[in-house]
Amino acid sequence: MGESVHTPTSSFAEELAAIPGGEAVNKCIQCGICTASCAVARYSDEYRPRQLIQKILLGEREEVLKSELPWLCMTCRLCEERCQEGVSPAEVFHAVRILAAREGHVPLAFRQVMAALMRDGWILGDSYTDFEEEDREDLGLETDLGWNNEFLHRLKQYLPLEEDE
Amino acid sequence: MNEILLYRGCTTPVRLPAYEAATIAVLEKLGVKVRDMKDVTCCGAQYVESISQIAFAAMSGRILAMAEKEGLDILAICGACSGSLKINKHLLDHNEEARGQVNDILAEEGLKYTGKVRVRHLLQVLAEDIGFSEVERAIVKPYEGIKIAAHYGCHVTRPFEIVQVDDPENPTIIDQLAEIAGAESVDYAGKTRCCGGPMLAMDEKIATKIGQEKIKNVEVAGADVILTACEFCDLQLTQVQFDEAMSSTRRIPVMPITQFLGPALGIDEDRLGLGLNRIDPSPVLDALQGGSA
Amino acid sequence: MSNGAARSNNVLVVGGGVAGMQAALDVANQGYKVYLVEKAPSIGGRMAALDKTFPTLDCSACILTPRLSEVARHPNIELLTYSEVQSVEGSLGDFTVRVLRKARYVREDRCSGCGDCARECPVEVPNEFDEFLGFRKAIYVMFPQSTPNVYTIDAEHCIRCKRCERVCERGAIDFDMQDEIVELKVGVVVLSIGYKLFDVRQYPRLGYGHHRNVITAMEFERLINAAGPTKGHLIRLSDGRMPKRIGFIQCVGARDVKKGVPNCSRVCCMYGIKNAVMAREHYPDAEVTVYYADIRAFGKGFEEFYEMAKTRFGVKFIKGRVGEIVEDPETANLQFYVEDTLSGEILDVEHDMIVLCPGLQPAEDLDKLAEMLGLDTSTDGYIETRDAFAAPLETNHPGILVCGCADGPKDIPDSVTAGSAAAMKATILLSSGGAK
Repeated sequence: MGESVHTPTSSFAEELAAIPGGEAVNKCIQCGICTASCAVARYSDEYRPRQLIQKILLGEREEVLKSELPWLCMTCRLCEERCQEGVSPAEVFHAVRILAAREGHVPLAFRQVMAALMRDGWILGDSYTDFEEEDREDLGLETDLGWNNEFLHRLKQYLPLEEDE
Repeated sequence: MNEILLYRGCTTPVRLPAYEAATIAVLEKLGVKVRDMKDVTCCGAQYVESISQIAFAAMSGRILAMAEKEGLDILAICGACSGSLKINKHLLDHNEEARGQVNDILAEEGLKYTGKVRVRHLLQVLAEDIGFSEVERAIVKPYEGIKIAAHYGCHVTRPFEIVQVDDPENPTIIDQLAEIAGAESVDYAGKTRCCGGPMLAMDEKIATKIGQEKIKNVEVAGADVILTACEFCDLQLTQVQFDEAMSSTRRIPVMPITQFLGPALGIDEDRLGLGLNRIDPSPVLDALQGGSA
Repeated sequence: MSNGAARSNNVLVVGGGVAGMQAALDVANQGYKVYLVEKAPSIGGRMAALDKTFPTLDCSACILTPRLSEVARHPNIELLTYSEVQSVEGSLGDFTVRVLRKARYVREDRCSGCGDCARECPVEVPNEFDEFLGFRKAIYVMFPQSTPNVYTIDAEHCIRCKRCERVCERGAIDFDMQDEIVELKVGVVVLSIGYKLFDVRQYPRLGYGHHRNVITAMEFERLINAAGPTKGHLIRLSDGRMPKRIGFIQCVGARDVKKGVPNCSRVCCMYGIKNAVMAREHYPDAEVTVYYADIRAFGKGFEEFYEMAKTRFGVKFIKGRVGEIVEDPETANLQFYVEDTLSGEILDVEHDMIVLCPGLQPAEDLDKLAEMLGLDTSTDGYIETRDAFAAPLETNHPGILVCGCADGPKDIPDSVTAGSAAAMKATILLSSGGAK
């Protein structure tokens, strides 16, 4: 792996346990049922929920927070449903993402969507063209969707993102 | 329940307006008036959710507070929206600090969250607020000789402790509704698995493979149509059938549950947007007793 | 209030499994009278249905049956089978117990166990002793060495054709029999009511009841048992073929906080390994794999047995819990994904038979019994003992003792030991005039 030798530490797991969703991470017994249930793991070469939790438990803070892997969880929660110890890898990785975002590690795809969201108040502003409007009209649906595009500006202080519109 | 506020979400109005129209038509037929929510924002699912817990809670909190002002429950037709609103409602109901923080933010608009309104996913409204017997009573033109595969979606049914919709390990609401409408529901491998939709953001290839796996399992089970209760799932399960890996197979129509129930309830097909379905639903409509309208 | 005249030196043992029988024998051998009440038509309990025991691979029936005769022949033991305790009143040294003796419609004093009646009986019923995999008649004995060796008529399914009555040379059939309540006076009660197995249908993802070749460990025991429904031929239930790739899944209904069973069930690792070994014994060419999170081989000879399973018997072990089992509609084979956590590889495996190893649960109706007797139960549902260290066999109700699986999962040797211990405790109480 890397050049330096990693000394296992429980401090990262404790840090995550303090974030809502991360509490149960220490209950993991590394049985692998999460990975066995994970559709993403099946089709991905790198994403393995159990291994990612193992890295957390061993304290590999920098590697995990900088990695794209926690963002590959598609939040389907099958791992959560099946884990017999009451750990939710989906929630643990959610806590990781929150922490990663605080430290400025947000994948490009997410940052791009966030930019559109902050601008319009909703995600698909760019996709709502005349064609879609017409379809709605034919169906007797309201064409003015009435999205509020100013509330989100008040939340900017809570969203650790650079202004990259 | 006489009236409910519809929270559309970002995707349905643009990508699957037929789902919105069919839902409104069906609910009205079953005695529930549907009112649009205006001046709302996105629910923040997946994106804001992953970046800031307070911003996420505030976005849902605002939507909930606005519904409180109208004194009506919220109908969510998208799984992710339903999940966001319910998870945040749960947080705000149980965590005083979070509730305080969010209400401080909302106060600037004169809004306040006190926990008065409920968040209902479409399946809850159909199964619980309206009830199966009411639906049965309203069927005028049942289906005959058609097999359906129900796809529930992850955010609709999980996490059970918070969303409380159906049995996540063995869901049956869509199956029951389809059977009331005269169809036969078939079981298939991986029924409770994800459609792959949320994966589109980070890795489209994986998302497609996941969706295609589901389609294959449905095919093996011999279903004629896939019924959904979330537009994201609907779009994803449709989309993956157009990928080159599936170009040789016959495409299976995908329909939201309300679009499927509509004709059986005697609702005009124009109001259901069936012409907009990317995969032709005529094989399904032909199964209506007496043929399609 | 008890006075000297009302005191009884009898012992009631509730439950005729291996622990109860041990308790009964040890009390009886000290000269006290024992009533052994058993709700099934025969004593023997769970062991009568098992094929081999771990870690010795002894034939279960072979080591059990001598006990059955000993109990039946003992002058100090009165056997009340097909009977259930209805109420217990009084206190230590002076209990009055009402026992419902269900009508078997066969006279115990006349029946010789010859079986002519069963051969005549036209009614076939799924056999609960064989986990419903085989059939028995409406007039039946549970297993060949049933004790007492008396037939019983299953009133629910009997059609009263009376052919059995006509063919019985000893006139043992009596359709006029009624349920009877008897009143027993005892000084101490020992509860050895055994356990039930977790209902694996609570895991829809494992497919039991839907996937034809997913069976439970108990069904497996009956299939490999020479006295079982297939005469000991391990076959697939879907097509009767011999399985070639068998998988065993551990921790089904144990160590699962979601299903309300966070506790470890103590015996499943060992019985799972034992069954896996037996599978290899039956089919040396079959691939047999055990899927587990941890292997708990804590007892005497257990670790050695685990090693032997791997080396001598060639059982494969994968440290990874299984997610969802999918059935192939054509072959009825079973597929699932599992992570081999020791290598990190996700495996896509196919088996033609899967055996689910359920955890142990408190006996059926234990909660009703506990309520009846005013006994505390612990959070896991078992009967609470007064003190794990100082009084591991006593309950909060003086004079009522527990042994076997009544207070928690145990294997056979531990159950037998507990039975002996309870017997000792019982007679100490009796001989010291009820003082603790």
